[in-house]
Amino acid sequence: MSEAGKPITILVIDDEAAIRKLISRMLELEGYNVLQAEDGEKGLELLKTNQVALILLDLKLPGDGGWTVLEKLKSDPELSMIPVIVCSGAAEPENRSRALNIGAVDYLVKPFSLTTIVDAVVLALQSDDDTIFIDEESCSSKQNHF
Amino acid sequence: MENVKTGLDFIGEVPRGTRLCHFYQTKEDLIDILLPYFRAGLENNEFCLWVVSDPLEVEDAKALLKKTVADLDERIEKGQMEIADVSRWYVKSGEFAPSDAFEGWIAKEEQVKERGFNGIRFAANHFWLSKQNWREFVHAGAAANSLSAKLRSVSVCSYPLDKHTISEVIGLVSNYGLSIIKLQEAWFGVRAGTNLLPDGSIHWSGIVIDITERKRLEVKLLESETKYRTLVESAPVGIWILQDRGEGPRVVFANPAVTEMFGYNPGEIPGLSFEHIFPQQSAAIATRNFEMRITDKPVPSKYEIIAKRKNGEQFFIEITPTKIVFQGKPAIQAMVTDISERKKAEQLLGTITDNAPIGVYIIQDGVFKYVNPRFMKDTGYSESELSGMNPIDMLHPEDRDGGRKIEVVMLKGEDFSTTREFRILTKAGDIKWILQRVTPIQYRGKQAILGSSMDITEYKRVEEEALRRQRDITVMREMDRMKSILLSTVSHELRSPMTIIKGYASILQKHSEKLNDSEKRDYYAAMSTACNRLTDLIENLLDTSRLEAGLLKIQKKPDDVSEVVKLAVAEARLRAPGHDIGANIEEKLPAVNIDARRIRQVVDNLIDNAVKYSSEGTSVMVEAHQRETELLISVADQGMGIPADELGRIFNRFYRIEQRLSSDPGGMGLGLSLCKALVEAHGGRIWAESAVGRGSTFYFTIPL
Repeated sequence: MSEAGKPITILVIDDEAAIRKLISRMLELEGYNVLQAEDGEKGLELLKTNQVALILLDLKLPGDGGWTVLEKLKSDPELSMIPVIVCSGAAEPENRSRALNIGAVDYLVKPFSLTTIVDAVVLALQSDDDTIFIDEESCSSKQNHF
Repeated sequence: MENVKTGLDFIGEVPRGTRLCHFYQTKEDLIDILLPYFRAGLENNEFCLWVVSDPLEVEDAKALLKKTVADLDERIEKGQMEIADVSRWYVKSGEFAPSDAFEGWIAKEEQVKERGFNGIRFAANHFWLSKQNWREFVHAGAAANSLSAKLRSVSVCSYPLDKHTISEVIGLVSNYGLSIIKLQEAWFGVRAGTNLLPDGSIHWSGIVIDITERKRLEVKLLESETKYRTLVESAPVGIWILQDRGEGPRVVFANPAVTEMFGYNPGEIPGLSFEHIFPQQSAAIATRNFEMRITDKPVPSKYEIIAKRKNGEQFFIEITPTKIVFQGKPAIQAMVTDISERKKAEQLLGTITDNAPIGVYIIQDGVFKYVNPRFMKDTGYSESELSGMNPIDMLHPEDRDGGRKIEVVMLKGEDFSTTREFRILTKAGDIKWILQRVTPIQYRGKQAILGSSMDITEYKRVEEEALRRQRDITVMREMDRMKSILLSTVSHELRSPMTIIKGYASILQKHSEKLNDSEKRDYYAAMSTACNRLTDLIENLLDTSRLEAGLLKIQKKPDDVSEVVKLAVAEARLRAPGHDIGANIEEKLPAVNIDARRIRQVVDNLIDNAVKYSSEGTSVMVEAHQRETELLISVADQGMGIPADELGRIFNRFYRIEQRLSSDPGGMGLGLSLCKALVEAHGGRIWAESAVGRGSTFYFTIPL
């Protein structure tokens, strides 16, 4: 949630409508504004016209597939600052480290509870703040936290 | 009266006891007559006595005769031929002594009988005759005639023509049965007789024939005959001539090589019948072959036969006969080769092949000419069944072309020695694997194929077993790999509905007070749907396991397919509200024998796939019709489509799993293989048609 009371916008990219709907509902209940996209192409389209603070990305997508979308996001200078949390049904550890290497901030394995996803979102948004703070005004940001 | 060959063709044969008179002018005239005369005598195994005087010496005569009689020395050695100076016979101490000569002849007769010769042949040159002993000599002529008849001898008395007056010639001629006169280049044959007329005078009458031309031809003949004879006599191979002169076939000529081969002395073989030179059974075969060839009937160009030596020892010879004319009559001339060494080698080889642990055979003219016992054992055929059998017919039909190719190359005589494996059909109809090596050879004078073969059926079986095991292991490894992929896929697939359940459960837990009833009902419904999906997944998984284990049970009973399809469509519309699911189901389809639950499972699977692979807002069309003797159910979508090269594989059990690692939207990949198994269990077929980018249609049939 922003200090100005303006809701933070999160983009959910998942091909399964039922899952998109679930995640959106979870985040909305926590006070976030949610945008939905069923594939990478539509997601990138939405990023052009919206101020998005965080992306929740499924790996199993039609078309390009989640891995390609993640690489596109992280290699784009405009978009690479937006933290990405990967939500996947694949529990293998090698998938997790691969995603973090490309630049994802977190890797959530389905199924997840409301608490899990909200904690991850909060953490990701905080570290995003830290990054900005270290670059600009380290002291004030730290005080902001405590 | 028995006739005897003079060796002079223009005279031919004369009765035994005949005395011939011969007038000559030169030494050559003398030789012209006497050489063939004695040669014939020696060949006929007669005792020969040649009394020489001027212009011939004993040594001259011997050297000249040797030119036409190669083994003259041996014959002199064994006492068949004597060449003596006239002084030893007629002129002892310068006086004519006919009684001495007559006694010598009689003594000779004893000797001839003792040694088993076929008679006596004389020749004497009466160059020594002079006016002093003329009367006495002519007087002795009559005694000589009667003695000659008694001894059954043949004789030639030579007189130098130039030394005698015409009356002397006439006087001499009338003493002989036949006279030959050489005058310059002309020859005359004279036969004369004397009659005592009533007035007391002696009347002489005679016939004179000019035989110059005949004699000239004979000389020529003699020349070519001499050449031939020299060749035959010195040939390293045996040559004989066989002829039937009315007493069955006999050897009429044998060269020294044959004589030696059969262990006889020179001159002993001519005249021998087949019983002498062949053992009983062979004699019959040889007689038959002789008769066949002499009558121009087809016979082998050469044949092998057992012959008999003088000492009774039997041995193998090879005979290569040719029909010729010999002394004016048909005869068989043959090359005779002692092949006992070769036969011994063959017998040794036979012993080896008879006991060899491999098959050995010879193919010639497209048929088996020889097979060893092992080959018979391997093929199951007897020797008589194999002889005359075309080896190609024994090959497995698929291996026949290869066999023909090799045979063609080999029979051209090209070396195609090679080892190869092929199958044969045994007499019992079993297939056997044979390892074979073939080599071109000469067999009985003709191109042939020598083959050796080994029954490797058992090796092949072990080899195939090993290969099969290797394949099994590969398949098992592949199954193992697939199973771990399956496991990972299953866990992945289960996570989506579980996320829904867990997610809504956690929302309801945490935000219960914020949610209105409608929202809550919505969430419970989503959780319930997710539970159903979990159940379906597990059912599919279990069915796949049952399918693999062969435990999938189909319980058929007559049912209405249209009802099953209608219900499936109705429920699919609830599951996929984003798609426009249409139906074209023919009313009153005939009831068919089906397991309704399984057919429903197939339709559900196909509709769920159609939904999964097409975008929301597009339509899915489900149809059911009767088509001739079957029901045709189809599900068409407007989705991404399936590439043509993958259409054939989508019903494979692990097709989807293989694809899953790329960008596939997911799914366990068990649905279509299960559908296929279920449709086939109903006796139907399942297939798909598709165009990439435009959509796919899946069809399945149920027979009426």
